Amino acid sequence: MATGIRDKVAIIGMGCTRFGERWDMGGEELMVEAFTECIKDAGLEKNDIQAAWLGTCIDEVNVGKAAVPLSTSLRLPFIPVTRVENYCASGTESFRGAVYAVASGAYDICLSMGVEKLKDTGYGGLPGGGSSSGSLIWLWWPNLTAPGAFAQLASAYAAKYGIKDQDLKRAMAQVSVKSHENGVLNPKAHLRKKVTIDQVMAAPIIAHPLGLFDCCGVSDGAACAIVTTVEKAKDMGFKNPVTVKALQVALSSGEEIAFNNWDGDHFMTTDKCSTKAYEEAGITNPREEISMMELHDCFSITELVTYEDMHISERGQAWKDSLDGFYNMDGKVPCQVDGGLKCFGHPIGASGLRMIYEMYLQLLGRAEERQLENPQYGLTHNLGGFPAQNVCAISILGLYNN
Amino acid sequence: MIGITSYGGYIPRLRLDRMSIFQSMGWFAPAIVMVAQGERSFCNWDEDSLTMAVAAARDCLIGKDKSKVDGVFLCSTTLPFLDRLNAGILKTALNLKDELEAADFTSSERAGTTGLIQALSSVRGGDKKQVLVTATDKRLTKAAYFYEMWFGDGAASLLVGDTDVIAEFMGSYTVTYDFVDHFRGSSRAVDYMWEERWVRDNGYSKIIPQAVNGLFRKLSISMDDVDRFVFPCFFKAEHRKIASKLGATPEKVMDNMHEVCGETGAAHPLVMLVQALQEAEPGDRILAAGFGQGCDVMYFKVTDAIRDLAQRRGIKGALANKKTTDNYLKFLKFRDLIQTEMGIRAEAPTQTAMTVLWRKRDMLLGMVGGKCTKCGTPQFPRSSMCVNPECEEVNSQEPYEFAGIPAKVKTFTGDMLAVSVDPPHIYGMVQFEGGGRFMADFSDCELSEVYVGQPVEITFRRRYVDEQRGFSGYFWKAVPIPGEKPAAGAAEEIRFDDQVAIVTGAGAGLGRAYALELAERGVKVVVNDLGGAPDGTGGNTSAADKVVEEIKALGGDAVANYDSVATAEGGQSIVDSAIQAFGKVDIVINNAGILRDKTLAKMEPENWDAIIDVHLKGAYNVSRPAFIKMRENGYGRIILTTSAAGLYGNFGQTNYSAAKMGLVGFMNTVKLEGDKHNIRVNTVAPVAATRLTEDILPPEMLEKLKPEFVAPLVLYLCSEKCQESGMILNAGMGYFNRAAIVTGPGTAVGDGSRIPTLEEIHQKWDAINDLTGATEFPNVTASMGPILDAFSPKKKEAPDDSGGGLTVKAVFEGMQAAFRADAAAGVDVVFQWDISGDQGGSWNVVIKDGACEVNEGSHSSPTTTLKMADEDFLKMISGELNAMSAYTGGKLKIEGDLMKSQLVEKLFKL
Amino acid sequence: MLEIHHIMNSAVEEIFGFKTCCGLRAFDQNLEIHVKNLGVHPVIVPSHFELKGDYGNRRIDTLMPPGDQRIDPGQTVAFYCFMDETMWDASRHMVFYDGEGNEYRIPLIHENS
Repeated sequence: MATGIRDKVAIIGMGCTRFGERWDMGGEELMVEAFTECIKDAGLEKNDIQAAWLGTCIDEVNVGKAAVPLSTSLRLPFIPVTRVENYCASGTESFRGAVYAVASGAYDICLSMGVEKLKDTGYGGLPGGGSSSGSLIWLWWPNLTAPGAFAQLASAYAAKYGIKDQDLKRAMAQVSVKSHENGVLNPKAHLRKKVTIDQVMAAPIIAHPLGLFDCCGVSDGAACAIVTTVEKAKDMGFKNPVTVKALQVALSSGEEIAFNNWDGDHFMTTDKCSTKAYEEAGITNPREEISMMELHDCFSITELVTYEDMHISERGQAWKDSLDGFYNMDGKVPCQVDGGLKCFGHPIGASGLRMIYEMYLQLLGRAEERQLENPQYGLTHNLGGFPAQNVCAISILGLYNN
Repeated sequence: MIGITSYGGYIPRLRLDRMSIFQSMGWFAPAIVMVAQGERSFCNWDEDSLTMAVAAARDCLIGKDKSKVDGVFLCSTTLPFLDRLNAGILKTALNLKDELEAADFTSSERAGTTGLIQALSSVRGGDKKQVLVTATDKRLTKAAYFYEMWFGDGAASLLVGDTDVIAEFMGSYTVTYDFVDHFRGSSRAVDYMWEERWVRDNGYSKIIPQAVNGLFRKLSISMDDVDRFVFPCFFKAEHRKIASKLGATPEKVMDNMHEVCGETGAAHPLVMLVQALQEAEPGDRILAAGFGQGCDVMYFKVTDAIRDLAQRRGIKGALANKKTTDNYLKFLKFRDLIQTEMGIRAEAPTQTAMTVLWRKRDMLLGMVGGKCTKCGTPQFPRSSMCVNPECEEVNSQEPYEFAGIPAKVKTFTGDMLAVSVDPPHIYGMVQFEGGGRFMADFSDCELSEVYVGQPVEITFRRRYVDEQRGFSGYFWKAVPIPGEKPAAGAAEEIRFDDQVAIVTGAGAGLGRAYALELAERGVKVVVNDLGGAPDGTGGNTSAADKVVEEIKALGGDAVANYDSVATAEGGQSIVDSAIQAFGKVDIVINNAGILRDKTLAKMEPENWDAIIDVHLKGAYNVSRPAFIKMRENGYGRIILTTSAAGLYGNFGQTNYSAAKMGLVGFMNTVKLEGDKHNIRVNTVAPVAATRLTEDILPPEMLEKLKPEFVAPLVLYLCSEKCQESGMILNAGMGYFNRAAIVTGPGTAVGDGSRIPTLEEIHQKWDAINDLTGATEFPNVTASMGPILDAFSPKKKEAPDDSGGGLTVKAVFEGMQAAFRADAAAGVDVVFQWDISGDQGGSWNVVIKDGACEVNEGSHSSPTTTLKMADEDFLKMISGELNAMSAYTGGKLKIEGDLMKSQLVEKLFKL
Repeated sequence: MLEIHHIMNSAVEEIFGFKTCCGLRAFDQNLEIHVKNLGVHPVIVPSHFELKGDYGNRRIDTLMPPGDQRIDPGQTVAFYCFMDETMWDASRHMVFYDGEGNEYRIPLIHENS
């Protein structure tokens, strides 16, 4: 009888590069930068690692296929290395591989790495599309982009709850404003300037009703984690390590895009995934118990409806909570404490691990200027795909002795 | 009999104003102005000959059994493939059976008529039963020359067979000559033209008449036997000359359609023929010709069956659906005649896997999805596992055609980022009637015209062109059907399903109008009518019965009641009948009324009493027992019918005026008593042509004063949505306004301790009468306010420092002192405070450059306006009421910049 | 009735430059101008303004977004452009126009002056 992952696995080291336009490094070098910090943090040597996981999404540019880029960049000595990909949730997927590997008892020490080098495309944006999306898919899916697909979430949400366009726009603007404010305090973020609500609301439209500030940018970066079992961590001297309280993934069945019930206003995956995650972690009142969150804020509307899909805001109330400052740094449930995708950009394979990195720092009291007071549970939410068809991966972390 | 059994047409929506070509290129080629009349049709960036053919063919197949089609001919000089049967793509798009013959007819401007003749031959020969012939062309031209002006894009489709023939085929005649008026070699994109004069003189003007005369000889007919002569020739004068040479009078000659779309190549003879068929009467005889390296001529006789053909767009409908543009560069870009930088993003790979195209041909080309045989769910695409989360079936779906199913926009966006030659790219989720949905690219629409809920037509379009390999790929898109966007916030229909209403006097006039409208919205109605004369005498059952019949015919539910409202027993009986028939009463409309007009001097007591009894007492008689029932259910809506006569007075109607005004008084108190039971009562003063006004109003006015114009207001007041109570509303002819009893501020005369004199009252007459600032009082207690206030000590004193006696005025007076300049760096705002209530007033607070100024009155451009009632304001200032709670609870209303209002707490020590 | 607010060397310049992935190619847009409609009717604002200084007048047409912009009541539209700092410092006023020909003159307060 399966018993979930709660408190079986500890994170004993993490590393994260500076994100942004890393003209100075390729994916190979970024992995080493993140790994160097991580292995030092864990107090281990490279040869202590027994198995590794690599999360990368894009094949057209970046480091190439298979897990060979990780094993060769880090010169891992003929150990098992696996590549995983699950759209933008690839980072959490990589973490999941390493976590389950140590929990299964097959290995003691595992590495999880996520990296993406997107700035070799020659333009700003994601490469691919056309027949590389899939032999059948590209013959019938609409010519969509991420902003356009997520923009429909905004109009569906406003229509369902009778929210005036300007009110929703303002609530979305607040989401971005608070993230940008948080990013100012993070030396690893790319964008580190404050913006005002007025600037955000007045900015040009990308895909109605999403404006420039409602969208995150494309960037380069890597992040990694070393995990082991709680018992081994204690043996190694980690008295009160950060442990994984929950780790859940949910994928669309195809129902959203072809059946008749989904209203286009929320994520069916996140709704169910978060419920399972709370159950696994033993959390019964997320609004009270979750201390901080890193949500997948590729678009501010994603973050906004996710407040509800996380069962923290009531349905139809997230926009009010946002405007009230509930998710601000000084609010009840600080969200995107490190600045989020808005300030870091989104190197796809790395983002999930970057989120875990911030929760890890906060729990250990190492978040410097961003430090929250005595956080208990940190939640990361990593989403890949589009509202109509997607992958949702959630992790909940906390200290072992809560 | 064999011949044409159906027709269809398609002209692209986009039309280029020909003058715009001249405006751009006239400096280079001034002569083109000569043919710059009207507009020419041109394909959208995602259309080509094949997509137009599919559109025309689908139009043609409306109302026809396409499973019987056993031949498909596609005729064009601009098909996308030189080798890959284009007619095979057409047939797959139409989802026709596999056992059929298909052929492409190409290489000539008369490919369309040639295809038609061949189709008719094969049906006549018994070889085939139903052949679909579609002609289409999208010809490219070089810029700034006549042909760019003359040509248009379009398609037409004809079904040929031996059943339900609408135009009987009488015969054809063809001559073939290698007359090269123009040519296009197989590797070239654009036609090469020879001298127009020669083409006219030796080509059109010799060959067409030769062929026509040949047909006349063959069939032993003459131009006298022709009612409509259809043939293409873009030389206008030549077109006329040929017709005249052949003896065709101008009214027989079908216009060559230059001004409305231009000449559509191989499609044109059939485009003109379809146009002719749409105008034709049974018995018309049509002579149709196609020209190109020879000439085909055909002769048809239109039959009676043409009247039975189901409605379709045809060429007429296609021409009407147009969007004219003067953007010549857009025309060139859409035809890929100018190079623009599309960016690296556009370099995405575009190889098509033929194996996938084969396996999924019905899905991609035919828009065929699946319907689960187990749970009945339609779904796109068809898949091995049913998409219904409750259904576990595998391989249970049968093919289900989605292309013709009505659909609506569920969500959409206009995407500036997506690679597009026509930004913003519009796409969204489309929901099909009966189930099923898909994410679709939209086409042929402007972002500002698309709305959620808009109906769309699923249309076959060219999805991509793989330039590297010379391959065109197709799929289906959603084309929004132009129409009125519903007004923002347009309400759903207000329904009253399962509610029960009593309407008194519902046998005719206003009462009947109310009863019918209520029934149409789901209400069960007690139709009460005494059936008497307008003066109240007599009575019979037919009036009420008739209305009950009318309601039942609508599909509604009603019972008749014949009691008189003038007695308490009658009123009770009316309410009882509602309870007995339907179990409750939700709505009562007191409408029953009679007239007994007499001036006061001549108004005998029985005439006074009769009116009071029916109108005023009648309302009491019915409303009292109804109120008791409504109170039990915690819901009710009561309407009383007052009148302008009562409100304003009318000669000869003292009895009526008194009764009608009495109802206003009745309402004022019932409103108070019913409030906590959600029983709302309102009065309506209708102006309408009914039996009661027949003799009073002039006939022309009566015409316009239909009772139906009053009904919507009355019904609205009866609805759950309406929470108003105690209103007096005038309604007539669609004009509505509210009447009210208002009380002016008045004045005290004297000091309240001694009795004022008549002279003092006379002196203060103007002040006593003044209605400036008059208000409505909700009840008697409120009305006592001014009197009590008049002589009581002034409340507006200096604030009590112990905090208990805080006033609104004091708060604003003290605001400047409470201002925190240090927190105001960079702040530039104007707060407008509008406080309502006894201590109410307006103040504006201007904060700029670290300073604060408080003024009375309204600022012309406040940053933020805050509105509160005085009591709430004081509670908020004293900390008793939290500002955020006040806001979310509706006690604090904020307009303008919401976020700046949060500065208030920071800027003032309250 | 318009309210106009300018931000020179705005934080937005960096964000624009970075987010070309959103399809906007906006380089060196260091001047941000907010135009807010304080009235009750929509207003059309053409995308140009004038700078006035001792040097005379200079009309700036190269604003993004280009063309007439419709601003609904209560809404703000932002314009962006490249602004030479020397010219900016030498300018005293900025003048905007609305679709009805009304002028809106805003004094430019420079930190150094």
